Amino acid sequence: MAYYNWNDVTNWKMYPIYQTEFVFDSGNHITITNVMEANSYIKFNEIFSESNDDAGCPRVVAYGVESEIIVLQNDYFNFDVFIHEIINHVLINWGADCHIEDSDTDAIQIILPDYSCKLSHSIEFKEDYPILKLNIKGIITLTQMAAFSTIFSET
Amino acid sequence: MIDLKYGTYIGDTLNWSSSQSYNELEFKDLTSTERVQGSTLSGNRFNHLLHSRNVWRLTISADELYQATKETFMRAFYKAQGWKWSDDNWSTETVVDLLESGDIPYEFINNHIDLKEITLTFIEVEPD
Repeated sequence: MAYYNWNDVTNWKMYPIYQTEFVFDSGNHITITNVMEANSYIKFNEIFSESNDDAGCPRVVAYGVESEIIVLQNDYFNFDVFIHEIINHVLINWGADCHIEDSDTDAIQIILPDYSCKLSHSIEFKEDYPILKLNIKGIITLTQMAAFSTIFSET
Repeated sequence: MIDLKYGTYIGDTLNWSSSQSYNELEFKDLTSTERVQGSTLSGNRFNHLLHSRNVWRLTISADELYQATKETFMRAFYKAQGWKWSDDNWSTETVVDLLESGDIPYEFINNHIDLKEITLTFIEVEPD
């Protein structure tokens, strides 16, 4: 069983991502399931206060989430619709189900709501097949991270 | 933890709000003075202390202000007409004046609208 240090979230890494859902300001929900490359991942980083606290140190006031999702070429079903949404609309909500690296812990969901996430993308071609690479950045509040801590502090 | 209340006038009566607690990032107790300084025609310097008073610098960061109720309270606090704080659950309290005015002085951490941080300066109403 894996051991994760709750105090160092930069060690937290989650994959594979089994399912991910994107909600755009068009109102469209796009769900991608089981068509992601295995090294698609989600990782965390700390966000510090602008000022130092009374002890002279910056405080962790939120957590950043970074994810790279590589969509495989065999998902033809939503591909064109998804690209249209990415180009023309703003991502307002994102969720993902995944496993923690080296762990038996079952899928958990990361949710970045209400304009707290940004999405960028690139399309590469492998022979004639498009490969979509998505990069997502967002923030998670302390309350959400506290819920994750019980999962990541497993031994 | 610091507890804050704000006052608003209804008629000529100052009504105090309910209390809101914050886990402050920084709360510094400082001293402020006002002096008359200069030199006489013969060149002798003078320095008269008019008064001194306590000043407190309070910073509350995004780990508190991401909560909608605390952010809403802070906005109401900022535009109030009276202010007081307590660090012992209102066993004692200090009535203060708020120094800032103009746009609410939010700093946005990483330029993110959800990560607000605010620094306010309280000054003692009565001088020492």
